[in-house]
Amino acid sequence: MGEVFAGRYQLVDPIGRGGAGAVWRTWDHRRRRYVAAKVLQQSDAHTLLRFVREQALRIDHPHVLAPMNWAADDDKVLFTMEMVGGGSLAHLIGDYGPLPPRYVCVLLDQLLSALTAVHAEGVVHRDIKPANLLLEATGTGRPHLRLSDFGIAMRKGEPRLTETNLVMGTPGYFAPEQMLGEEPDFPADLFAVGLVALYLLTGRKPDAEALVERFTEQGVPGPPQEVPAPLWDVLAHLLHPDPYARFRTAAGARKALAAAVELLAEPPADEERIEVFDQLGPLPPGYGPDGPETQPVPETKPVPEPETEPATRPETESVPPPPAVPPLPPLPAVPPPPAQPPATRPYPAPVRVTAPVRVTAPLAVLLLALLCLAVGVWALMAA
Amino acid sequence: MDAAQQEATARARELQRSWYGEPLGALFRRLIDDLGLNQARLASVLGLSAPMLSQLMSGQRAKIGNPAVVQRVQALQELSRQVADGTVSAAEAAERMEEVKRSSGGSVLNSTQTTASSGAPTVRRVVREIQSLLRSVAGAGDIIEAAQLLSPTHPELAEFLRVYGAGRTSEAVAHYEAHQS
Repeated sequence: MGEVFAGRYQLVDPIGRGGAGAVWRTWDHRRRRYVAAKVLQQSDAHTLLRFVREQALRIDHPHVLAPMNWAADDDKVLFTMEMVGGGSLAHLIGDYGPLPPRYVCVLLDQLLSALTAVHAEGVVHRDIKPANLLLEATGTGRPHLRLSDFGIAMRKGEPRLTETNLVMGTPGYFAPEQMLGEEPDFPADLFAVGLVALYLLTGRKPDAEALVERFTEQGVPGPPQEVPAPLWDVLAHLLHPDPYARFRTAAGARKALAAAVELLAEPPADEERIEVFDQLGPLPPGYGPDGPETQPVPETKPVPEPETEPATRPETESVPPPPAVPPLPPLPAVPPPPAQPPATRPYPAPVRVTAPVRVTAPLAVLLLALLCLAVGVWALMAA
Repeated sequence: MDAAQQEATARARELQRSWYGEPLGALFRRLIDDLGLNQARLASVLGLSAPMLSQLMSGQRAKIGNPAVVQRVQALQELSRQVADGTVSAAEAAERMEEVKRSSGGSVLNSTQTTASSGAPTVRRVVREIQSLLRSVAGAGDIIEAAQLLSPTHPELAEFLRVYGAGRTSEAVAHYEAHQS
């Protein structure tokens, strides 16, 4: 059974891997719901700083998946996000190959609306790529895209964290000016949107370098086979190697896209039905839709029964009366006698915990708090 | 499952038989057995999500939408044949599956422009094609027998048959490279 982190978050099972750490399905004992938690095994200050900056970004938009909360424990930090279950655009292409143009336009429209909100905050995402574009598990309904992973996002004009900016971002979804190490700017994100669009329409990873070469040699090339001409007009405008020849804003691109959709041919009658599956898989044993299945027992009862329900989990905790080391005792809500560890249950009523951080807060928490403050100040100055 | 659903499933299986030679449930289960995989691993090699693989296998969905996945299915079928007749060892099969997993449909600009690729994968591909052509004509046993018949009079032809028809891919690649220039 998962550990409880900072008295509040119970890690359930790993569901993915982001740039700087693993992502876990997590039960939030306070809000009583599942969330996704990005867990960073504490490493160097640089990674930590990136992490802090990422969690500092709060953008409230239906197509942006931004951090909600953060917490720190002895050797780890995490931040939480809403759970998004439908996998990424990379999953979708793996399953279906090239997507119908109208379907692609819905996804692009949502992505551009997310970017409009992100850019309005002065933030350049810098890592727009299929794996960072998640989907709600909407089945055969209208897709719902969420832009995620702000791990290398930057506020425009903010001092850079590293001199090694060239390795930031994902090769293949880089704008040419990003390769040259220019200051991050919004049109670089728009170039990446153009590449994502090509990927969705063709089902293959686009070759950005060859594309740039062709633009440079022969001007705007003709549309690839799978791309309808009206849509290509928009994409070519996103994919221009010269950032000044590109759309300047996501909102502008979105408007042009909406106009192009009007010109698309009706979809063929036998078009395959696209279904966005739930990719998360069932909860592991011991967990239900309402969280861990071991019920918190009333506080008057010192030792929990081995559960009345059949077949809970093969646990041994209830057997030895005083376990030598209780698994991760977090902040007890009702302070037990200090000499006696909260030994009777693995997770002593963490639901009511109000302070997520222990009094004996280790260095990490202090460092993290400081960094958060610093980032806050930055943000204020940038605003 | 109601009657309409049953009927849809039966129809999907029929379509799969006409497109892929047999229903995908049977086809995928055989790949799993022959190559020592499980369902999750097969999905990962093919580049499908687990729910999609399961829909295809159960006949809830008929068609493999992604052409790159169809190619990977064919590559795995070929590989399982080679494992079965002993021309590819288990270790080599694992390595080949990694290659299959990484293989994609090619670059977007393929339709209008061929990009120069490095030599090594091309040699391997040519060698594989010669191998599979030979093996589609005769089984490994027959080829070895023919090579033995030829060896007194035409030793080089005999070696050619033995290397491409019954040898390991690495051996065939070496042979190809030695005779290329």
